Amino acid sequence: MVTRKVTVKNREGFHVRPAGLFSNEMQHFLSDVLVCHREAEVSGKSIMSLIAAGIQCGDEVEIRCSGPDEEEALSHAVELVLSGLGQTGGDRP
Amino acid sequence: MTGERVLYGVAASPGIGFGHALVYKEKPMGSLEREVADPKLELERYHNAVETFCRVTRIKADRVSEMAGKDQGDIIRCQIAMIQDPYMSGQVEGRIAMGQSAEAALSASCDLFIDIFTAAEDELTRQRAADVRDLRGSMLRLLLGLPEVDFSALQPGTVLLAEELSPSAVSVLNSANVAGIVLGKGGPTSHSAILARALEIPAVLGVEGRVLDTSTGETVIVDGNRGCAVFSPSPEMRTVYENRQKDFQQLRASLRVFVGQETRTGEGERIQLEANAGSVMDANRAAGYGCDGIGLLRTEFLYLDRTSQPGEEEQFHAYRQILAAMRGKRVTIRTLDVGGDKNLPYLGQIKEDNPFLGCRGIRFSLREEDMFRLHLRAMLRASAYGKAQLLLPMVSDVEEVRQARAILEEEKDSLRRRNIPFDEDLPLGVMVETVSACLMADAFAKVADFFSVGTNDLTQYVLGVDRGNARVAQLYSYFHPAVLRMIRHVLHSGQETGTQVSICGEAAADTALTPLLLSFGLKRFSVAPVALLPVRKAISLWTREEAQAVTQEAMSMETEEEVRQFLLQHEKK
Repeated sequence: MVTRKVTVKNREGFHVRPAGLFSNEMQHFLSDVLVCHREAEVSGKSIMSLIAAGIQCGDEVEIRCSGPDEEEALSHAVELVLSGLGQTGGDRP
Repeated sequence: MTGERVLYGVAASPGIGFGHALVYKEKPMGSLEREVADPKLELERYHNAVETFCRVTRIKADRVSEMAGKDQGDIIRCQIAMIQDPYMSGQVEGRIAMGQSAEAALSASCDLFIDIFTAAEDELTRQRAADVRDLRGSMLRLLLGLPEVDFSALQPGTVLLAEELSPSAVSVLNSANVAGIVLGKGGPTSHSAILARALEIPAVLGVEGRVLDTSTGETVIVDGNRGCAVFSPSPEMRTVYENRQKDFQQLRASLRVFVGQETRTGEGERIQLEANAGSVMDANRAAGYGCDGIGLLRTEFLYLDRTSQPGEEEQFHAYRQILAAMRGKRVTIRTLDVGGDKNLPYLGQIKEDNPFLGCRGIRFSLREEDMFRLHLRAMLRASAYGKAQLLLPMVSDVEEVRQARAILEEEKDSLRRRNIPFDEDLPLGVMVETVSACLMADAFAKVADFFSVGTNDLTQYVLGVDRGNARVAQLYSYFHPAVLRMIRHVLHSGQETGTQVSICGEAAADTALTPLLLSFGLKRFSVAPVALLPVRKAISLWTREEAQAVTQEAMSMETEEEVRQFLLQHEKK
């Protein structure tokens, strides 16, 4: 298993569009992907679980990947979070 | 109910609609429990419904993306991810295997997520419950073989009244049939409001009082300009609104031909018309009407409504996104303009007795140098991805510009050392909004690459009127001859020194002033997205000679009242 901690930067946190993007991308990997936030541990491949975890801008999460392509999965996951999950802080009217 | 009644809400989509009320209530679906003979067949039925749901939802999402932008479409598209979610399918399939009907299994699984989302601490997660409810409704209708709520087949002249409309319901509305929308919930930034504007359906949202008390068939006027709905209007009211509707429709039609057009005067001289933006959404809206760039990007939107300052990465991505939306057209990014009426406690701002004459704009930035440097770095980095220029607010002394430029050069050096790309020729300009900047324009021209006249603040500083003070607010007017002389002075200084001047305040958007600004030599207007078309049209109606005649007369007048009356009389729109 490989793990890394990252801080969520986009303004909406893991909400519907960011969570949709993240879970969709993670489904391309064979490894299990877990996103850990406070006491919660949720599947990174599940949009519903990610939304339910209520991860907000500024929160630190730990991403844990285990499986045959765990390194690639982790680095892609971290990159997605750092790049703002397809959005910026700016798209609130 | 009889007799005229008016309900007030938020003006969410402009226009005036006449029609007959259709009160929409979600019908209870009845019992979902059923004897299931073969769980395998039941599972197949469920999978078929999911497949249809995904296909239909994809079409809806594409339609919404086309109408209102990708972000809005993605909200609907996410329902596909939700129904295909491994936990969601696990829940549903498990229940079906235990003998439940597909309907009951789906409904119970959705309820589970609705409960979890509703119990969340943050508002955004709670709002997601609405998406799951929307999804559940569509899926159940598919499974039960009920017709989808088909708003696309409404009678012409329908005014739709509901407590709330789901995003997928609004997405299938047809503006040919729907004269207006009145909803109990929602505000101007809600999904429904955005879609209503995209469809050009007048809408009033967040209506106080009970919307659903209306009886179906009652005559309703929806006033999406003022934010009210009139039920069973009197004949007099009806006449008033028939005239207003006619005016509005004529205006809208006359403006539509200006969408995506270049801005030119009556003689065909090309004028730059740019947009003011305070968010990515504004920039997208402006791009929809067609414009020559963003003449004023207010960066405050990144700083407001939060508890700590936005980091370099977040800012960089926001600026870059707006530069990308403008596709190579110029974006003028104004550095943080806090102070005055915009206060940010986390930046260590203190309450001042006289904030408009206090530590605001560039004064604040030079005091909070670390914050300013981070802000500049984000802008510099973004400048590699489009055509940007920087604008300093609230300058009153040439020395401030020198200091800001020195800091900017240091940050450029540090980026160069780290091989981070940026635009080496990034122009740096100043807002002309204090009397000193205005009178010293020739001196500022030596240190600044361009001027942008902020008429909103300039007006209050020139006239010594606090625009937020109701007792003197009537004295606040950019029609005052003193303000107009100031503007003329800046434009003439710009011509003498070869400095580009734009005007980004509300004066630029007021079509009564268009002939004056053109005669003063203004070549760059920057206005709110909603004013782009009216201003483009007004500019097209003036020739140099006509504009000069009006200007000469207006500038010989001595009071605000005379000038305003005269210009309003001669306004072309």
